[in-house]
Amino acid sequence: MGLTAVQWGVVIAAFFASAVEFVEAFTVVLAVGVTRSWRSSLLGALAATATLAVIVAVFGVSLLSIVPIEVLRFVIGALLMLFGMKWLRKSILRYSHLKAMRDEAALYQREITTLEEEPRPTPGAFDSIGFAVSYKSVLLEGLEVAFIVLSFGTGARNEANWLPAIIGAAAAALLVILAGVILRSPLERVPENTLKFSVGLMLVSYGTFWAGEGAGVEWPGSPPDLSIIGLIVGYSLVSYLLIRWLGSVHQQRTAARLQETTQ
Amino acid sequence: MNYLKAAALWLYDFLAEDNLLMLGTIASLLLLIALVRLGGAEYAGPLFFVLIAAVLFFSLRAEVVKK
Repeated sequence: MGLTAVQWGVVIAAFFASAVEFVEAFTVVLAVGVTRSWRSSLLGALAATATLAVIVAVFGVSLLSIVPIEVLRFVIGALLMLFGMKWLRKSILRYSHLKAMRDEAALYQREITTLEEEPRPTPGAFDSIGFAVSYKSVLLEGLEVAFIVLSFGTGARNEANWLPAIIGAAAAALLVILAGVILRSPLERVPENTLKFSVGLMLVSYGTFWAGEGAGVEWPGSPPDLSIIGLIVGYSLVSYLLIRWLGSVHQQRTAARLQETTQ
Repeated sequence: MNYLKAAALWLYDFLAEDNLLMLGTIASLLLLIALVRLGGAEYAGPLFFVLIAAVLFFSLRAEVVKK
């Protein structure tokens, strides 16, 4: 199967974006499995995955057949941008120490404490609480994955991007599940902020390009798809400068606070 | 008058939060359409990139000022 550079970009973006969401969902599935029952936890995760598959199938097909491709590209591009800008902003704030890093181990402990406060299921009976918590978590995090797959799948010039987007998301799911089964603990060592930052960059870059394409922009370069690389480089540079600036703001504030306490 | 003040305060809060990012992006998208319709399809792409970079900058600046 020969993939173009743009399609490889879609595989990578879908992989990392999905990996971040799967790690978050996995933390809750693991907590439910350990405190309640593995049966209810895995059934909840499976039911949520089936729901997501239906959502992608129904919306994906209907979107492509009903909405004109220019309109779809613009809307998808806009949504990718809104999504990506949030991730990019958050990870820039985290890199410059103006926002705390996400701690999977602490989240896992908090989830365990909450679940232990619930009444224990009777042995042999179906644990509806464990099922519901697992289902809700996988569905909510998975909806973001579904959104990314839908966006990348429908935003391209043709339908050939469906496969790269699905491959990326499926590979991420497989890797997170395998790592979880082997480690049997929350995936703390995943550099979540780096992943969020990279994915945010890609979502914003692809979103800018597709929104522009949908609006009728004549991108420089031949083929115009090459502009995506230019956009990735441009946004990386802007983000780097913003991290440097915010990092110095943080340092100045910390120094001022230190001075205040010593006086 | 009170309603007007309340509305202005609400708008200020709305813009100062993460919403500045959302509103800025949406406004940039609308500008992009306007620019293309006015015949600037060649320049609209690079200009759109600059607008989005500016939105990101101002949104982060709002966060720094808030803290």
